[in-house]
Amino acid sequence: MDTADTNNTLHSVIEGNYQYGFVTDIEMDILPRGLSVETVMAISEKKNEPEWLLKWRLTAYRHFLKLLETQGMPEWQNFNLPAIDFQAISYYAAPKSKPVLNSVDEVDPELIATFEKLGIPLTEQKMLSGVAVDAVFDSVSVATTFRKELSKLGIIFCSFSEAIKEHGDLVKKYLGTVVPATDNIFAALNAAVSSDGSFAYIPKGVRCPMELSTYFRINAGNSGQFERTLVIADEGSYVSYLEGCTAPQRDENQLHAAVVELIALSDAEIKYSTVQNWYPGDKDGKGGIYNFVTKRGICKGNGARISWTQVETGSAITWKYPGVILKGDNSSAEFYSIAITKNKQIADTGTKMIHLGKNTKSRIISKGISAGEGQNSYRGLVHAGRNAINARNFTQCDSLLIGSTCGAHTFPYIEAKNKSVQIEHEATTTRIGEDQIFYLNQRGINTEKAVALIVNGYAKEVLNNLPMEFAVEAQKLLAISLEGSVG
Amino acid sequence: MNTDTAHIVDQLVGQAMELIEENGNSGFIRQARKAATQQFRHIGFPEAGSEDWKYTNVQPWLKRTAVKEVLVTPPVTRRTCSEQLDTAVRIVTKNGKLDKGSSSAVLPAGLHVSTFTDAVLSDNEQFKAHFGTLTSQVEHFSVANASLFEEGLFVYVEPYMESDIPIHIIHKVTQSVPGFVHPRQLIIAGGKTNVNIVETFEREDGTAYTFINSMSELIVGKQAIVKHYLINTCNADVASVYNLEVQTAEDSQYHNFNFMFSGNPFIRNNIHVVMDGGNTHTKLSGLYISGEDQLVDNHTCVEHKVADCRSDEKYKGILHGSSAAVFNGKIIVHPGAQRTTAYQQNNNLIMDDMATVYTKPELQIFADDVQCTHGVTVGEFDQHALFYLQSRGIPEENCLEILMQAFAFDIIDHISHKSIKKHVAQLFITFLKLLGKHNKTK
Amino acid sequence: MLQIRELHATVNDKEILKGLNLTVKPGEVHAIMGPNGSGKSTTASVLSGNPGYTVTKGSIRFYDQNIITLKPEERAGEGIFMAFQYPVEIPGVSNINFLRTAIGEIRAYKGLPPMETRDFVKMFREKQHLLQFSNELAGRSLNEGFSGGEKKRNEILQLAMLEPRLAILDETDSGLDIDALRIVSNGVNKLRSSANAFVLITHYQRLLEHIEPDFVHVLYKGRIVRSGTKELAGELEAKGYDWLKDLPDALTDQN
Repeated sequence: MDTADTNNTLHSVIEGNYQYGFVTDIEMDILPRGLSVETVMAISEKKNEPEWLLKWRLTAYRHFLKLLETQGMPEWQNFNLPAIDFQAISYYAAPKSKPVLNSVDEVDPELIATFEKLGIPLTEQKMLSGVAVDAVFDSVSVATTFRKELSKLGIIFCSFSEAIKEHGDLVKKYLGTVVPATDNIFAALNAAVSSDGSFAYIPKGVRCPMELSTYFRINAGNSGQFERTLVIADEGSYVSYLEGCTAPQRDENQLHAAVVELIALSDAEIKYSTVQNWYPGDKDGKGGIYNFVTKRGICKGNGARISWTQVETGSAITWKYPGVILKGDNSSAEFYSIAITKNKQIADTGTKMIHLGKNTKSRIISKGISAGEGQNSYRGLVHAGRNAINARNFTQCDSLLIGSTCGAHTFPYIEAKNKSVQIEHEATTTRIGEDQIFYLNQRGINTEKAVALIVNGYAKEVLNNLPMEFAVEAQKLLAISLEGSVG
Repeated sequence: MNTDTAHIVDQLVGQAMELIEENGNSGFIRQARKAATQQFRHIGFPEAGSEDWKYTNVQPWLKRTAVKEVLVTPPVTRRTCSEQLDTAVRIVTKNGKLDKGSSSAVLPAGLHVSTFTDAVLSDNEQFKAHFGTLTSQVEHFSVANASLFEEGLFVYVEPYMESDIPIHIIHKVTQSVPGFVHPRQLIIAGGKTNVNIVETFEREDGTAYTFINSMSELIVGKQAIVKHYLINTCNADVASVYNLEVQTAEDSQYHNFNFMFSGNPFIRNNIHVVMDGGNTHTKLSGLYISGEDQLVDNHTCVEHKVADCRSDEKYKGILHGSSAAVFNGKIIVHPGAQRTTAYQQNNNLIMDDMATVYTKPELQIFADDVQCTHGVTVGEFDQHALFYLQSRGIPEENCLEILMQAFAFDIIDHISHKSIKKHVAQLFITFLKLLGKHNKTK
Repeated sequence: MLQIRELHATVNDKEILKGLNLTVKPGEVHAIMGPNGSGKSTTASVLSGNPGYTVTKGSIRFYDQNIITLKPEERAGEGIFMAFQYPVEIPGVSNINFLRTAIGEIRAYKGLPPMETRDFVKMFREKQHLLQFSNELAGRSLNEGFSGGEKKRNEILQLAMLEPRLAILDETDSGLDIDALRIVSNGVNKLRSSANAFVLITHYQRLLEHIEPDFVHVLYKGRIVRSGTKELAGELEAKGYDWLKDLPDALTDQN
């Protein structure tokens, strides 16, 4: 994408605050706050789910309780995790107007207006060309575009609820196979209470002709969002997928605990890109989303490829490690990440590359940018098992520090279990040099623009991996207020 | 607290209580021991899977101390190679107690060596000022040592003392039944000193299984230059944990070399350096060679507490057999520690398919004017280089030896002291040859 | 266009410039020469507004405006350009994108609309041709991995693109081989006009064989101790700078 454009966007955002903090006034169907077996059953019932799914949810719920009792909340992180009152959250919130799944024209105009305000037009005449969008509002999917066009190729792209009804076998076959309900406490919670999300299936040999995109919006107060995404690329297929997210500005912290599972069969390729811009809280750290998500893909067949690209700019705390299990021989995986923290934001992110198959390759490029009192950690695992003959990994993990009160940390775990592996890890820490700023100043560029230009240049290697079609989304990615953090 | 080893902790706490009751310990040592014992009772030994012990299960090595064997014959495969370091001041300890008879009779001017007991009896100001100031409250084995050391070695290097003759501290262990020893040291290098301190660990023949849990506090004074060499050549049935706490004052240089050429099945080193004064330079160089089912675990932590300090760290390892190596290198740059330069590198050469490397280079940075880089590599030796050497008529076995030497060369080459360099290089080569022989007979 | 009067400037509280006087008119090329530490680079830094340098006394007027209070980017907007002795590397920022941004900002400062992409590309091709600047370098990140000579040529390309009224070349000749020196000098000669002026800061006379100056000044201990025409440069080449030590203190030191 054109760096000049992102640069302008960054500049505009430097001047302003969080742009997506508005609240949509719409009549909602909200479950009372609290978490219990009844909550789980009520969600399942509202969605008319089959019994196997309810059973799966209840098992997950019991596991969640057990983890909470025996181990409590995770303690390995290098920051204080604020206490989360799971009983104070409402686990289901949906617009009262019934979602219509076949024609976008019948969607509540208020919702259409909301998404338009976010730059996601849903009406047929305004649809983004070449991008199919599934719009998720609080707990439910409200619209999915370009469904007919996609279905001609056999591609299934719909809300998770709908997938359960119409493609139950596929869901049952793959759900929880990459991120089991027992994976971690938030994955267990998600399995118990997730109410919607997106589902995509690309049949054998099909190259999905357009970008698939899910747009998540938290609107209701005191609610959490627990969506579940499942993408299956059958043999030899290709898909590029993007998710975006925003939330209103609220004083309380809201929990977002999503799960994404990617399954790439032999020679299939999945590119998954995220532009995460949840409300980050105010400058004193009040409010903001706790973004605790579990994302994992599996290169199940030989020659499969998965790549994660993420631009993390929002949330009070981000906690995510999109990983790939490289099971198939000759499979490959990539992880490209930019994480920006400012004010009191905390980003703890990285990836897990689990090499199991022969001749598997992975590449990790992580760029952290810390400003203000922001704390940015790269936490990653590269594991090469006994049978991962000739496994290769290259990791580059850079930190950019802006101002003397921020922090940048790296925690890379490397485990090699056979002699044929080659793993290289490099990390550097830099700051924006005064000489760089002066040089740009001397060419007529003011300091804020100079910083924007330098930050853009720093992040370029990751930005270049975002799909072209998401120029608009990508421009939001550097939505960071560096104001006041530049001396 | 690990419940599996609770009975061992109980037993050790009992021993500590006896030590507290014993006479001869002055007030402040007694107080420190009491506090450490209380802490040890509380935290015990590390739980399997806790972050600092993620890859190292110390349970079997602890439990083995409770197995009442009279004598353990070292397995034939366990290697040994001890070479004399010529011209050195020898300070010998036996199970942590200074053995004056085996030590050099005459010490160079400016060097003072005594037991903790003597330091207390002579009311040594330096000892009083620094004893226990660096001990960790959280590291399980440091706490255990602070609770259980029976006697300590106090080394004081007077300000301005400069000496080319290495100060060689030889830690000998010898006991007839399995158990722990807890050697403890306090080393103070006064301002503007320039010394070379070598520490080696030896197990006397016929000794039963011993868990050596050492702890050293080392104070590096202003403008001092201290080169500190840890050489672990313990053979056979020894588990070794070494806790080193170093504090460096302004304008000083501290260079730690850590060589592990040993046959003992379990080594864990906790090396912690706090740079407490501006314009100081810390260097950590490590070389580990492992074989069979050895576990070699190095945890290092370098703290940049103040501005304008520099640290360089390079650890290299060569792994054979089904051995495992753990490297955890932490660099902490505290708020305000501007103009920090920190460099860290860990390279691992895996020689056999069953060997395992776990490495975690860790940066925690709370200042912005810093230059920090770290790098890790894990891999096999260069096949092209092997082929090249073979094509020149060198047998494969010798080629591998040459390649291993080439890999480790720069660590040993960093030693500026001629006779110590020669000594280490000899140990290294002897050790490689022993390994080669062993691999051949496999 | 430029009048410097009794200029005193410090860096890290150390006074480097001690009463510098200089007048530059449009169309002129001035060379400032002097031994190491005489204040040559400080002069360039002070003119361009480097925040590390403090003006303690005196004035700098550019087209009758006092520019001492202007920020570096405002001075650039006014048409002052400095070719750096050590151009900075900025990874990931392409040369082209950087130039577009700079031109856009300078035009905005002057109240001009942004340049059309087409016009920009055309202008870039022209200047690139003029300075024999390769496509490969143009597409790379700003100065990243450039050799010393390539960096200096890039400075001149920027000079050509930004079309300043006053260009200060700070030791542009240092570290250049003879071919690069010729290319850089030819570029400057082509860019000379009756509307702009150049101040060449250099240690050696070598650059002046390629770019003929109208005036040569000798800077010593923070002041200009001699001025003359290009013949002075030849004299300096022959005599070196040692003779400066014999100058009466009154001429070199005000304190």
